Amino acid sequence: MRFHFALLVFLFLAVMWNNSYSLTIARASLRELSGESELIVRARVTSSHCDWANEAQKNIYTFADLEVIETLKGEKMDKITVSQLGGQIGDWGMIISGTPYLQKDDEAIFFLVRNGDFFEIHSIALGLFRIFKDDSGNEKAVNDLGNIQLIDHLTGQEISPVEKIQTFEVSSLINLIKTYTSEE
Amino acid sequence: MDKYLMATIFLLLILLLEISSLFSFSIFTNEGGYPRKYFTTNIPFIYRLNNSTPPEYVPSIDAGAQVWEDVISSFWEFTNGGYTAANSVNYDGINLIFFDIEGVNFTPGTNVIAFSSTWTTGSGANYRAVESDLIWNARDFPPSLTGEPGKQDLQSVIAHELGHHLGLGHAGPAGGPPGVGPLITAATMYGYSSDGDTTKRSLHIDDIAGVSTIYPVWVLQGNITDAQSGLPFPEVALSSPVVFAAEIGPPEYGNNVYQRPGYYRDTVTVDTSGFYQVVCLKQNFELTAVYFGYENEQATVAFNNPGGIGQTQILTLNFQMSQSPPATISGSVIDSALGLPVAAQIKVKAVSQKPGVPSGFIVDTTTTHSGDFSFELLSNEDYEITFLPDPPYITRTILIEDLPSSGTNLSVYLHRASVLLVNDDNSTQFESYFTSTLGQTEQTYYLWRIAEKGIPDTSIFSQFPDPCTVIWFTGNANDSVLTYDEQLQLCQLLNRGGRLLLTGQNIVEKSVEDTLLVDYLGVSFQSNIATPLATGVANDPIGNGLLVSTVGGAGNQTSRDVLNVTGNAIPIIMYGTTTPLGVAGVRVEQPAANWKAVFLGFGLEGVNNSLGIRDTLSSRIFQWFSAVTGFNEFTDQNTSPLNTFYLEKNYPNPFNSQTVISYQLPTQAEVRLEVYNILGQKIRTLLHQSQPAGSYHLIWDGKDQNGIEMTSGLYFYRIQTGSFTTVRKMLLVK
Repeated sequence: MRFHFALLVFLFLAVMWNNSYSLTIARASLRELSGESELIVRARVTSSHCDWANEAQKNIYTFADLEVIETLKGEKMDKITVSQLGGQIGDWGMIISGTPYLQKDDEAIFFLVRNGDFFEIHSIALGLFRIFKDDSGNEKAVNDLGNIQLIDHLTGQEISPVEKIQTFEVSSLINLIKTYTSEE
Repeated sequence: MDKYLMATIFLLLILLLEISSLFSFSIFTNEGGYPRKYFTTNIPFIYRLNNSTPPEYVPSIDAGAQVWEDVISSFWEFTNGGYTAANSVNYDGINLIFFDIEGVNFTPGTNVIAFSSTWTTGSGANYRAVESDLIWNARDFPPSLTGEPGKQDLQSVIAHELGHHLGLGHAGPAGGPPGVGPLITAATMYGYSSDGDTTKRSLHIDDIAGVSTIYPVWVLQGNITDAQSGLPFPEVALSSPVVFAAEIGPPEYGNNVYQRPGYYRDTVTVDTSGFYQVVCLKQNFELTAVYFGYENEQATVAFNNPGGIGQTQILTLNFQMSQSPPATISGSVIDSALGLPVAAQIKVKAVSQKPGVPSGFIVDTTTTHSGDFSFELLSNEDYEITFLPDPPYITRTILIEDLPSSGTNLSVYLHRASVLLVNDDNSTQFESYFTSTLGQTEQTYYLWRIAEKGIPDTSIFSQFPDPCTVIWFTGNANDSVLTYDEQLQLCQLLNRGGRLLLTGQNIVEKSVEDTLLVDYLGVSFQSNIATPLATGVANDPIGNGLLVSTVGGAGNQTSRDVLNVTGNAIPIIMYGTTTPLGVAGVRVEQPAANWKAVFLGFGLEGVNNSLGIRDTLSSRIFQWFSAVTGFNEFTDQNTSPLNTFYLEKNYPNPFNSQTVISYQLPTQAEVRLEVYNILGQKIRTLLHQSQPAGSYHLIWDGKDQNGIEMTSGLYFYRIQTGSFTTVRKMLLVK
């Protein structure tokens, strides 16, 4: 029953949410992300649901339960929960621009920072590298910031649409992360 | 305007099809296509500033809001509601703008510069926004008020973000987020910006169309009917000299977002229902209903002044379309030089820029034998009329613009071509390489496709001015064979003093070695060669100094032929660069029969023309042919030195009864002086005898060999003394 409810919630989210894309983020390198994140894991979303953040019903959060496959940095845990501001409950929607909301069975490498009892994705969207298989069956990880205004403050220039989508071989990405974290 | 009416408008807008827009805003919607808009109960949209907002920020914030209020065709309004203690994106009934200097909404180390939150509720047509907040991480990323480098311009960003609040997505690019329509980078709602960019402070027409679509002040609607039948008239274009309308397409989905692309228009097209309804951006404008074959129906649109929030004026404007009367196009086709009638096939296409224009030819007819024609077309339209005559006349196309109802009479003068261009390939793909080169060398041509018309013969060659010049190409290697009949006809061409450029791979390799190749051209097959480079023979009038590459032209040279050369053939181009690897091309002439030919063992179409080599090679061949342009007048000299042959201009010219022709011989020579008519037919031999050196004068009395007086017209006189030939023209006026 709970599973069906969660599934319905996500199906609803998939068709109802409207990101306004007005999220603006400063670019960060993989080395910076690795250094600034408290926890870096490869994990799969086992369930997700939306809830009011308080009794006054003035905030909605989306909570995604993650099953950790591999811990790349930080304390080893089998399960963690990631919270994301915004979500949809019934007719009510709270749309946080540019947020890559998580859905059941999503698999990714997460760069996380702690926020109270939960973890958050670093800079809303910067710290999410979704894993997929390409046409050849190879595992790839992609950080898709195509719907975010991304500023490079070293150059002061907005980053081109093509540059906003970074794709790695999963194994290469993991090796890079381990290299950067070992340098700390 | 009530919700039902708004929903109806958006559904009906889907019926309008795109014609001329290059631009696109987008609006957020739910899956049903209903916009994520604020209902009028929430307008004006009251934004409030957190108490900590620096006072110097306020003018830029208000200016960013004001640009949306200034849109006269939208009833959207912003109001600055003053300060508030609110400092989060909570649903609290406050549309917050917060410059978070303390960073309470941002975890330490975050790279987030700003984010917005919009609360929505309802479903279907009741879907709506109820609150929007914007929070800026001013702790880590303070904005700029002056567009200084390294910072985001506050006024531009506020204008952009408030555009999102009221329901607009990003403008373009096509194919999905961050926008769904064609790219328009000048719009405030364009999805990308850089530090210091202040250009987005002012709205683009695309932004204006966007907000007007969601919150319209003026809507125009009506029915289009056929005046005669009274039935709905579909697909009429409503056109204005100004951009007057905005319309939106169906929802598109991507990255968890539903959006509808929008467009601003100076023309909209009504769908099959004959009903139209469109959001308007102008209060007053002229509108014309347009459809092919029908009279333009014009109207003046005048809306009331804007009535305030939620007030949408719907104006009904109906059009009745009346068919245009037929008009007659008549006339005759005439030889431009002789004034004689020419028969031709006639094909007509409608080319009006209107909906309903029929595709293909709407008239396919022929002239009478006397060149006369007459047919009817609907008036007030544009037409392209093509006259397709038999050889040697050049096809001509005439554009008729806005055909008057009184019709029109045309005298269509056709020019004779100087070259017969024969396509002996199974396709038409290589023709352009030759027609382009002929254009560069200022030759006119008649294109003859063997696949359509069969092998040209003497009856065709005789139509061209003497000496008839033929360019014959065979194209791809797989069908580059000259048949026995083709060689026979080319022999006939040369027998009558013609000029021939024969070019193509595999011609000598695959064709039967018959009289043309062996006895006339003096070539046979030696081998194929892989090298694409060939070098012109030094001091040869055609080949000298040329480096010919057959890579980069048509790209079809897979079987270049190396030639064995016999008889009178003279190599003009050799394969290879520093070391000759074999003969690639020859020239041959037979002074006694007055024919000349050039043969290339490769396709001229394959020659790389990036440095103009194909054009140069062709031009030199024409020069060597000398009389390639038929009886177009030419001469090698501008003066009359005593040590050269020289043919002077006749005097008087034009003439009525007789004219004097003078010439000069530097040495004793066999002299032939003949008169030809415009068809290239010899009508009189004035002289044929050996003469010692000196100056001579002959009189032509305007009569042919039988003493019959010739009619008025253009005539040519040609002198031939051994290798020297010159032609001049003269005009007989009765």
